[in-house]
Amino acid sequence: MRTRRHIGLGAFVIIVIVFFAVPLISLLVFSFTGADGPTLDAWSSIVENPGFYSALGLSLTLAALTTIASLILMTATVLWVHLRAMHLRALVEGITLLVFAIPAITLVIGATGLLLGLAPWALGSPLILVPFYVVLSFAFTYRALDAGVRAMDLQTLVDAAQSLGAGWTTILLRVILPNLRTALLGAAFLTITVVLGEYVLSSLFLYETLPVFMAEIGTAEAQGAAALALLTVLFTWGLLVLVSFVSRRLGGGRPQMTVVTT
Amino acid sequence: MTTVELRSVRKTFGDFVALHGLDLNMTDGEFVSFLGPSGCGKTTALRIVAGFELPDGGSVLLDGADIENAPPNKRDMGMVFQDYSLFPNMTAIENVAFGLRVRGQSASQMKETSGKMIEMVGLKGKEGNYPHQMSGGQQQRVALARALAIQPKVLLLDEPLSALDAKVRVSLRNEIRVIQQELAISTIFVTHDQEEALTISDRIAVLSQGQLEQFGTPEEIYRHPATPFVAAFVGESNIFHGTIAGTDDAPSVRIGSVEMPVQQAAGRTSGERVRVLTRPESTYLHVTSDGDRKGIPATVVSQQFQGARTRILTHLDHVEDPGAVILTDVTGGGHDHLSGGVQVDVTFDPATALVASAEELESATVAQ
Amino acid sequence: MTRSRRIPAWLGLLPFFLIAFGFLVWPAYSVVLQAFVDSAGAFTLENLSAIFQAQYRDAFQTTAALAFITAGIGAIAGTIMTYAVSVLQRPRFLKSAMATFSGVASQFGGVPLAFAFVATIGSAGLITTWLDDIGFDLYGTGFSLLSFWGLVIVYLYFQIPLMMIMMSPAIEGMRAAWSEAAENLGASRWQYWRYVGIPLLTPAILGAFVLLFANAFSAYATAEVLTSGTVNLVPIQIGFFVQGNVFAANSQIGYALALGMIFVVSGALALNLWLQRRVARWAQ
Repeated sequence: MRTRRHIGLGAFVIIVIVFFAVPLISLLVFSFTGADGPTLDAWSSIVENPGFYSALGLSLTLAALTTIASLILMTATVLWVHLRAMHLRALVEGITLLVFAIPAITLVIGATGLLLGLAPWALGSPLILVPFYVVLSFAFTYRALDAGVRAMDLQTLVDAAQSLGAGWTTILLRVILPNLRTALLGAAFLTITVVLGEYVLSSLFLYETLPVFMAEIGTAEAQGAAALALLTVLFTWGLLVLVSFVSRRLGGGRPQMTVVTT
Repeated sequence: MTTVELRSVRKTFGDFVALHGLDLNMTDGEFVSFLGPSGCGKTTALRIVAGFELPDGGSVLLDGADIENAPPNKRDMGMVFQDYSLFPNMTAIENVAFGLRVRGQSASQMKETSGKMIEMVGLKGKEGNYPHQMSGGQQQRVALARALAIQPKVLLLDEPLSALDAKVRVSLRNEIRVIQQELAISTIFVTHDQEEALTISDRIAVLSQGQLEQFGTPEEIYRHPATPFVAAFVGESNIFHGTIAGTDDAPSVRIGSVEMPVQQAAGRTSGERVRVLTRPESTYLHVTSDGDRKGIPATVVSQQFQGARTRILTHLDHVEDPGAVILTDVTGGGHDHLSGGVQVDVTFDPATALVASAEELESATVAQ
Repeated sequence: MTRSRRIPAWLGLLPFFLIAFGFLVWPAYSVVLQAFVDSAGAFTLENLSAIFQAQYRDAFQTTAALAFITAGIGAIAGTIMTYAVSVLQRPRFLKSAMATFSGVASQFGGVPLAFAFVATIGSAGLITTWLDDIGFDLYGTGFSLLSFWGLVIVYLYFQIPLMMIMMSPAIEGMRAAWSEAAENLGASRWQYWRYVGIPLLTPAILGAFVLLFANAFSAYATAEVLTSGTVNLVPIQIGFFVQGNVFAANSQIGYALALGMIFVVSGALALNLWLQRRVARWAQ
């Protein structure tokens, strides 16, 4: 008797799922569509474009550097907050959330002005993007790691390890980090997603990352851009599946991989 | 005048049979408890009466009329749920008035009735409190007032006390009983707590694995358990291992080397291995005097002082289950002669002793 | 522990504070400061008054309208969707599939999203072509992907999943006992929603709505790639002022626009915090 009520809801769900699915299907079909029917032209033109490889290289380099920097900084910060500075926790969390109050585009204009005045040479290297990307992924990494630390009862673990005679290096490497593996994986996934998708800073700082390259070729050959967009989506899904799989193997449950605000 | 009747009510969830055809008759104003371990079907039975589940077979009759087609919101049954089901966005009095509001009562009528209900459950002065500002016990009082405000034909209580602490549980259950008797409202009370069921009910329906084991007054259930399950689930029981002996006219069970008379051994063959279940207060100890064997030889282990009574723990001496501890309750004090190491003979009241086969008892304890 | 105890608590957080200050707080502070000075550095209110010029006022209005409409539709559709997913028993994989999908789709913004819709309802898109084949000229109706309403459709693609992520704790927190209690007391389905369900969800929905609003208000990449400025939006206007190492003329107006944007977005976030506190009052 309950099911009858749900027919309307079911229909609504189907409509929304169609809305979600059609653009993805279109990407796939569109990337194989040419003027005279199906073709691989879009894909081969990308593969043959040297710009693609340099953009991909830059994006992956930035993703790697940002992820490493972000994980080291935020792991240290979250652990320090929990062990030594609980009274500063609200402040740290507040700062990580500040990112949402200052839209990336306003960050760009503020930062450009400062850098032009103080260190114009810094704009000459794409590495200037890394600290900004670390900041942009603050909220994601903080929340993922904070959830991980809260789930493991850090203080008790540290007390137990110390009472057994372990030093701080041992505690960090043998006790804390192994317990934080799934949280670190989740944080890394979120950081990589942020960096690979980031367009505002890289385009306005004039660095040709993957999204900038995509936008550029999109004006001339929409099919090529569609192929690249599809690749990006598939890569993200693949990464998500991989992270879920690995963290399940590690037995730590699913890490926090969605964050409320983008 | 409200009677509730369940006629061979059956319900399955997938492969799980929740109710195997339940038959039950409630008279007007009666307080009936559905008692049993979790998964026995008691909550399912209650939800079928409330209309939240439809039975796969059988019917529910209210005052003799089948109510199968009445949806839950047309049944006029007030229900109190296990977890706090108060609407968190409403104050205590708004919660109580909810059923009246959806019935389109005027504001003044609503205010009067719900005010009276709040007073009845002893929460005068808390009308404006939100659920999160009240203790668990207070919330369940509001839930009770809310269920009673609609003047239901039947009051349904789904383990309303199980989330409360022990003290509150006892006082609230007494209040529920007082209010129920004042209003003379037919009530079904679901619980897994046998003590709760024994103290509060007019009659108890003991359920196990979707079957009705026994339906009777608390005293019948306690003194004359109809099945091994009831004996094991309600109250405490001693278990003696033995074999059937004696004749059909004078049945007895051989326990160790002693034959003990029993009354309920009809249909069992001589030599069958059985268990005898007895209540601690119907089990007796006699200090052994040489040559005059009165019962099963045993040794006192220790005493537990429990206020109005004293519980004596003994070990049987020469039986196949030597680890078993036999409990005996004696009233008052002055039992110093029954201290540890004293040799005693154990006997029991043959009228209340229940004889069961080993398999019957095993399946009964597994069901718990 | 004795050794580390001598280090003051804040010192361990110094790297974090430095990075946050240098690459977030300082640039933001600079925006505020620059909005109130002219290019020579003297205090002025002219930048701020400039944002009331027709062009910029229109940008704020259009951005607000875009954010409001997509947040509104996104909030309603996302809420119903979350509710539907929570009550529909079948198919069994629906719940986990939607949770995973909304996690990914809410981040599927920017450039790839723009091209996904170019491939769908762009002038040569799959659906456009298909509609043409069955005799319906989509672009003949005046519709264009590169217009305001085109952007509305595109933005919904991340607004709805984002809403679903935000609403699922609130909707999962709705106890079955509440609707059963209401039903038992004689309430119809509609009365349950009218008196219990909707009042309970309202603070959560409003809180999520303002976050969606802030989210759409700040979005830059999708609109920039799709419309290249044909729809007059604040983020795109700000983008005009800064292109790499070149600062356009009148760049101080850019700062004023950025300040206006920070003002709107932080206002929305503050409202959200206030609403969340109201949700917390019941959620115990």
